[in-house]
This record gives sequence, structure tokens and C-alpha cells, in this order.
Amino acid sequence: MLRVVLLLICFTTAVHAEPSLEKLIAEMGSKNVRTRDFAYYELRRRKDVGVIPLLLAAAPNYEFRAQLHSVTLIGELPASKSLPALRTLSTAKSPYLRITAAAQLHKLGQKGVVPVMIAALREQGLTENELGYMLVRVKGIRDPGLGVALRALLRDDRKPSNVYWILMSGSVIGYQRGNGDAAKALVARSSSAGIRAVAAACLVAKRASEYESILADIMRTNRLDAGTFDRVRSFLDVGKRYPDAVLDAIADWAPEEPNAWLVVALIRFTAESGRSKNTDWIQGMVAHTDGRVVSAAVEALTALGVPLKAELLEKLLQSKDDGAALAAAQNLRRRDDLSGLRRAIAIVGSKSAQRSRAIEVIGEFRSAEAIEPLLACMSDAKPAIRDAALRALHKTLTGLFPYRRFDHRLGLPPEGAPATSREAAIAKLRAWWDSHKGDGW
Amino acid sequence: MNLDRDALDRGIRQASTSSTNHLANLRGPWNGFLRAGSDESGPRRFGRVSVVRWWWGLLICASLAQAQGASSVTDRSRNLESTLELALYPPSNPERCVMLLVDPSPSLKSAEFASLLAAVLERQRDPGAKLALGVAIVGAKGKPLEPGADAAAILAAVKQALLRPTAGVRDVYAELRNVLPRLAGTKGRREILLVTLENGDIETRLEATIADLNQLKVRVNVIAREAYLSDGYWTGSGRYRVKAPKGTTPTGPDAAFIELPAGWLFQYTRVNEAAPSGFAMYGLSRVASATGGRIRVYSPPAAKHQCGAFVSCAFCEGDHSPPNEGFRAARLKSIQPLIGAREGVYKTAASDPYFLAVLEAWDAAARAKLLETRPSVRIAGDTLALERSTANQALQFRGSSPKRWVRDAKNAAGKADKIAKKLKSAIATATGGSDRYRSVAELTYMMLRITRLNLLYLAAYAKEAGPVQFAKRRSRTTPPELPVVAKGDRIAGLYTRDFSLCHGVQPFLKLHLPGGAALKKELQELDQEYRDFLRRNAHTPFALALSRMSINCFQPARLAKKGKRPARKTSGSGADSANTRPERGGRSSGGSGTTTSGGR
Repeated sequence: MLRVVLLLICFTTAVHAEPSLEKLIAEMGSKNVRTRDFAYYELRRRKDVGVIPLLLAAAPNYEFRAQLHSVTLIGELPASKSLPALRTLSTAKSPYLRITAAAQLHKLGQKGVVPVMIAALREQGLTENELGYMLVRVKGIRDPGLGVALRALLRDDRKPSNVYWILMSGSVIGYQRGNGDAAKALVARSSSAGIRAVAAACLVAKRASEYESILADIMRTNRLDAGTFDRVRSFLDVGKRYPDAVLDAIADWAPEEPNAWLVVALIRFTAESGRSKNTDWIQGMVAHTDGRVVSAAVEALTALGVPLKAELLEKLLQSKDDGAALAAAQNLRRRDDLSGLRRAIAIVGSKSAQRSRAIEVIGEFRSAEAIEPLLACMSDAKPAIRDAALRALHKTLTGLFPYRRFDHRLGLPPEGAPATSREAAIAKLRAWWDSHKGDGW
Repeated sequence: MNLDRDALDRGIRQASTSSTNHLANLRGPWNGFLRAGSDESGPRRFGRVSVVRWWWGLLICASLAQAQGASSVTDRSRNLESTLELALYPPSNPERCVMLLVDPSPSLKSAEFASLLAAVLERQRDPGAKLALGVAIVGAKGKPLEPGADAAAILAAVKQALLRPTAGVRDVYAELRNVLPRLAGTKGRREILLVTLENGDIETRLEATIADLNQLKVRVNVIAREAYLSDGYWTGSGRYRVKAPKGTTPTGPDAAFIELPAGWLFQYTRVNEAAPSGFAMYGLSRVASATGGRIRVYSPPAAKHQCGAFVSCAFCEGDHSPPNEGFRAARLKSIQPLIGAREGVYKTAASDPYFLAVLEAWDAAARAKLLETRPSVRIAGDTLALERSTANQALQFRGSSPKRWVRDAKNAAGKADKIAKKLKSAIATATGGSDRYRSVAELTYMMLRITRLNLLYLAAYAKEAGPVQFAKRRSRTTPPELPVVAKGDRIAGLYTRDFSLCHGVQPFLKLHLPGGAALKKELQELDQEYRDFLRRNAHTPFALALSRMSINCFQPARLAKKGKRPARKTSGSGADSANTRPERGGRSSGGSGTTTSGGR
């Protein structure tokens, strides 16, 4: 009887652990994103060629994202099995299936499929979202005909959308190859300041220095949103171009910008440039009402080597804003002044939202003073705090005892272990510290 | 090396009483003038006219003596474009014929030299230009571009050369001689603008080249990178390999010879090979100054600070921003290297009490096996002579016998202490020496002190932790600790970890180190001496070099469990890989203007 029960349990567990291919294929068509994604990842893990006929039958009825997933699944199977299926899908009615299958075939060396992609891109009635997903599939394919089709999508009447950003991020507007004519046309013609700014940034990254002042003018005269600036920044970062004109425009723009996140991005971009002149505006941000801006400003000034006055850092250290106080403590530590440690320890012991960061900061001091507060955090209810404390404590102990080696988990059981075993390990750790905190190696 | 000790002692005594050391080494007409003025034999020298002449001579010679230092001909910048513009189109802009001699190195390409040159030529485009510009490429076999006003041809020649840059070692002085005939018979002021960011440290016939240049009245301006302080990379154990072309002499430092002892026990980094000096290589500075030109030292935009070159930092995450790192022009001027002809520099050094004390300490330390180099020069009468070989066998701590290490380390520490004390007293009593050699002496003293401390730490480690960590039957450790030597590992000897002094000595006082109160007291004394050193030498290359010394931590060197060894990878072969000197430490700040925060 017991054997039968055990067998039944095993059987039901096995059935539960391994849903059938048919069930997973059906779940791929679910409207619930989680169900659909689970089925997709499970099928991906299994790499079962038996999925091909099932997908060929089911895919045309899927929602467009599931159709794209279906082709990816087939494409990851051995080429001998997947090639015929992909060829079939490249003639399907759905443009998503066609373009994705063609892109997979292209990846497998079938270069003659480019017209299929071009035809799919010219399909009428696609939404911006759908087109965006399709563009991601053809990214990186270098073909003159496809390039023409993609550039045709950069119409003047198209509003700034995901499609635009995808088209502008790669070789389409001639960033990696070509002469950048498409980008130049956008700067000249587009009615959207965002598009003009991103196209100009692309050209600046391509060493077209005459567009530096154009980009600076766009930034001065139009309020770019955070997303657009992020795209401008990514081009300039990739090209390692930080023109003085652009940095000066940022210096004019940032003090007027009400969006704190955007101000933080502007500060970080300036810090990335490494230009230490004209940083008065960043120094002004140290008095900002938003703690995130203050922290970013202090960190940027530290990175740029702009000396901050000791009185100002002292004031920040005592301020109510924990983020600013931690930034000041970090700044002082970098200058070999450990006076910020006390405040950081106080934040660790408080209920501040900055506790996790404060733990990280006191770990960087590598001071014996930080060990007791860190040991206290090891029993915290939040796993993130416990994890941060473990890392900080490991850093502190390896720093203070260079002649010893430590276990990277300091003898603590892995997350998910019973609380009693954790407490016992913490007690051992505490006992070790008590016996070694005196003099000696 | 057999150092003439009597000569050394005599030199120290004489130098302490001499007040005209530097002036006595001036060459040319002023030398004779000064000798006449200082000669005590003739009564006519005390006449009114001769006294006036004597003072005028002294003043002029003093100004010339100043001119012999590298500061007088060196400008520093982090902006290659403005440096280039200033070199090609100086404010006075007389009628000139300039040969642009470009050394096509990878760093010049990555600095985008061709596009910067294009921008400068575009900005300065003027139909009535007084500049005829030609282009020659270092190491190129083809014919140089004759001086003219064809900007497109100039740019094309430079771009072509930088298409495939090479990192080989090249003799730029030979190239200067090759270019010289192109300027013969040209109109206006004749100049060569040598742009070399990686070469200049392989010399051939330096003084003869200068004579040839002066004969044709050709002025040499140079754009170059900073040299490393007292750099002797080619004498090292192969970390920076160099294969000098046949018939050339490798030289590298900012000064005429290697002034600083290098290769101290336990130091992974030879600090003088990783500390930028603020000046260009001696040969380049010498050519520029002797022909009436200028040398423009270009430092690339500020790099991220590193607490040590090739060593770890025990006290930060690589985000340290040390207050003493940036150089200050006034301080650099006081410790500038001499860039007169080598014979004159040797004579000056041979009569400098600080340098003679360094030489003595260096020799004694080499005999005590505290470092792996012997002095680079020896006393030869009233001057110095270069040593051919400077390799020295330093102490070895091999095997796995901590008891023997205690004895050897204590003996060596005692010797280091004696040498350091003697050097300290020589520094205290010396008068009349130069600031540079005083800094060299002070840094040598600090190096001796740090070596002594490291030896004492080794002795303490071998006594306290060694028996535990080297024992055949290893004791068990309790969590959170792991055994330093894991079960099954074999011990291959002693392993040292270097912790740089970039944060000073103070943070080491908080670490749990062997040696107890006695060594803590030693550390406190070193901390005081470190602060005293910085008081005199902060914002100079010597402070930077000291901050790159390290205090060591010792451990058993472990060999992994027995098993199949992975196949050894062969490194890239070919002349270029053998000739390439890897990038060494730089400064995150300094270089432009009086201080230092690294503007662009």
C-alpha cells in the first residue's frame, strides 16, 4: 500500500514538473503574459524538436509577440530540423512570422531572404509597437536594400516613437557605416526637436564637429525630455564625444530643469566627460532641495576632482537628507578623512530608505567601528539588507586582517536556510570577532 | 661596482663647502669668465672694473644656470590641439620653414593627431602665410614632403603615416640628422617640430646631433610625453622589455642618468618606473634647449587614479582622490633635472653632497643585498662615470623554513637601519647641494626605512604566523576563517602582497599585523617621517614615487593540487611585441599649469 502511495506521489510530481509539449504550446497562445512567458522559457529549456510541427500549426493564430517567440524557438533547434520550418514560416501570412523567420534564415546564412523582410516592413496597417518589435529582429543585418527600406521608415510625418529610436540607434542613419546622410536629413527636416537632437548627437559621435553647436542650440532652445536626453547621451558616450558647446548648453539648461531625474542625468553626463571647468552649476546643485540631485552633484564633483569646501561637506554630513550625508561621507573618505563614518553608521541603525546604501558605504571604510552595526544587520528581516551587510562585513574583515583568509559567506548558511542555523552562524561570527578584535595578526 | 670610498668622502666634504658647484659646470664663454672671477691668484681681479665684470658675469651665469634646468624650456598641457597650434604658429609668427617630424606611434593615432592637425591648419589658413611646412615620418623609407604651403599634401602625408602606426622603438635623433639637409638653404627661420609620444629614449650621437643642428641654425621644438622619474626600465628584470636598435644607447629618465636606487626588496613596482616626472626625456629636453627651441609635454586627459601600479590597495575601491598627487609648477622648478651636456651634469652631481650620500647609501644597500640594482654611476675623479652593468643579487627568501627567514630578515633589517641612519645624518649635515638631489636623498632614505620595516614584518610573520601557516600538519580554522593553505595544496615558498602607501602610513596602524607593539611603534615613526617627507616634497614626482612604495603582507605561496598543467600559451612573437613597453602608471591629475586638477 505504501509503495502504491509513493508511486502515485512520484507520478503526480513528475507530471507536475514536466508539462506536456501540447500544453505548453497552448499556453504560448495565452493572453496572460506570465503564462505565455513561462511556456516560452520552458520550451526553450527543453530544446525538443517535437515542438516544430506543433508550432507550425499553432503560431499563425498567436498574438504577434508569441509569433516572434515561436520563430525564436524553432531557430534555436538544430539547423537540419529548423531550416525547412523556417522556410515555411517565411511564406506565412503574418508579417511578424515572415520577418522573424527571414531574419533567422539570414542568420543561418540564407542571404536571399532579404526581400521577404523588406516586403514585411512595407506591410500596411502595422502599429508603431508592432513595427518596433519587427525592427529589433532585423537589427544588425547589413544589406543595402534593407537599408533603403529602413530609411524610408524615417518619414517626416512619423512622430517620435520607439520605431524612431530603434532606427536611429544603429547603422540605419549611418552611424556605424555610410556618410550619415539620413541623420543629416533628419537634423535639417524633422519638426521634432527630440529627433533633431538625437540625429545631431549621432553625427557628433561620428566626429562631425560642425553638428556640435547645432546640438547645443537644440538643447538650449527646446526642453528635451529625460528619454530623449538619454538617447543623446548614449550616442555621445559611445563616440566618447563630450564637446564643450554641448557641456556649456547643459550648464545653461540644468539649473532651470524641474525634473530631478533629468538633472541627475545631466550631472552624471558632465562628470563622465571629465571636464572640470564650468562646473559652477554642479556646485550650485549641492544646495538643491532634492537629495538625489545633491548626492549626484557631490559624487560628480568628487569624480571631477573639484575640491569641495570642508565646511560644505560638514554641513552636508549633518543634513537631514541621508543621501546627501552619505555622498559627503564618501567624498571625505576618498580624501582620507574618515569623519563621515559615524553618520553613516547612524543611518545604518535608523529606519532610513538609504540603509542599504549606508551599509555599502561603511563597508568601504574597512573600519573596526563598523563591524558591530554590520553584525546587527545580519539578523535583519530584509534579505537585501542582510546581503549588503554580508558583503560589507566580508570587505571589512579581509581589509582589517590581511594575513587571514575568509569564507565569502563568512560561515553563514545560504539564503532560505532556517533562521535558527543563521542565528547560530551569526553567534559564531560574533564570537570570532570578540576573540580577534584585540591586537595581533 | 668598486666605489672609491675615499673619493666619495672627499667629494662630500668638498661639496659641502663649495657654493659655486652649479656655476662651475657651465660651458662656453661664461665658464671661462666665471673661472676668471673666482680665481684667487691675480690682484687685478679686485679692481673696480673687474669687480663689476665679475658681478655681471655672476648674474648672467646665474641666469644661464637657471636655463640649464628643464623647467626653463618645458611647457605642459593636456590639450594636444592647442599645444600643436602654439608650436606651429607661435604668437610672434616670423617667416619660417618648419619640418614636421612625426613619430607614428599608436598613442599618437589614438590622440587623433591627424584630425587635430587638420583643424589647426584650417584655422590658420592664410594666403599670405609665412610658414612653409614639410613632413617627414620617423622610420619611413620614402622621401619626405618638402616644405611648402600645400595643406592637403601635408595632411595626406600625416594621415598615411598614422594609418598603420607601429609601437617599435625608434631612434628619433638619427631622424633629426636625416631631416637636416632638407632645411639647408631654405628661407626664414629654420625649425624642426618633432612630435613623439613614445620615443626619445634611444640615443645616438646626441651632442653631435646638436652640433649639426646648431651649425645649420635649426631650432628644434618637441611635443612629447612625460618621462618617468629616473626611469631605468631597460635594466629591469624584463617587465618592460626593450630591444634597442643596434648601435644605440637606451636612456629613459628625465635626468641625464639614473639617480634613484631601484628594485628594493619585496617591492613589485619599481616606483621610479611608475612615477611620471613632470618633464620629458633628457635627450629631447637637451636637444630643444641646446638649439633654442622649447619642449611641450603633453599629458593625455586625466586618467582614473590608481593607488598603485600593478598592486592592490587595502584601503579603497580604486576611488581614492589623494590630495598630494597633482604637481605644482613652482615645486617642479625647484627639483628640475639639469639638461646641460652630460659631462657637465656628471660634474655637478659628483660635487653634490646629497647625491654623493645617496651613492654611498645605494652602494652599501646593494652590498647588503637590499635591492636588485647597484649604483648606475661611479665616482671618477671630479666627475661621474656610467656603470655598464647595474644588476645586483638581492636577498632571496626561498623554501619553506620560517626560522631561517627570521634570522636573515633581522640581519638585513639591521643593515638597512645602519645605512638609513648614516644617510639621514649626511642629509642633515650637507650644505650647498641642489634641491633635486636632496629630494633624491630623502626618497632613498624613505625607501630604506620601508625596506627595513618590511623585513621586520617578515621576521615577525615568520615567527608568529609562519609556524601555523607553514606547518606540515595544518591546524583547523573555525568560521568565518578558511585555512590559508587548503588541504592538498603544496607550499612553494613565500608570497608577498603589496599594499601601496598611497593613503599614507596611518591606515596601516589600524590593521591586524604581526609584530605587536614593537612594530606598531616602528609604524608610528614611519608615519611621522612620511609626513615630514611630504611637507618638503608634496606635489612633486618624489612624493608620487613614495606613495607607490608598499608595505607588504606575507603568505605561503600555494601550488594547486597535483594534476595536469594547462598548456602554456605562447605570447605574440615578432619584433614589435618584444619592443613594446606596456603602459605604466600615470597621474590622474597634474600636468597643466601651476596645479593640477587636470583641465583639458
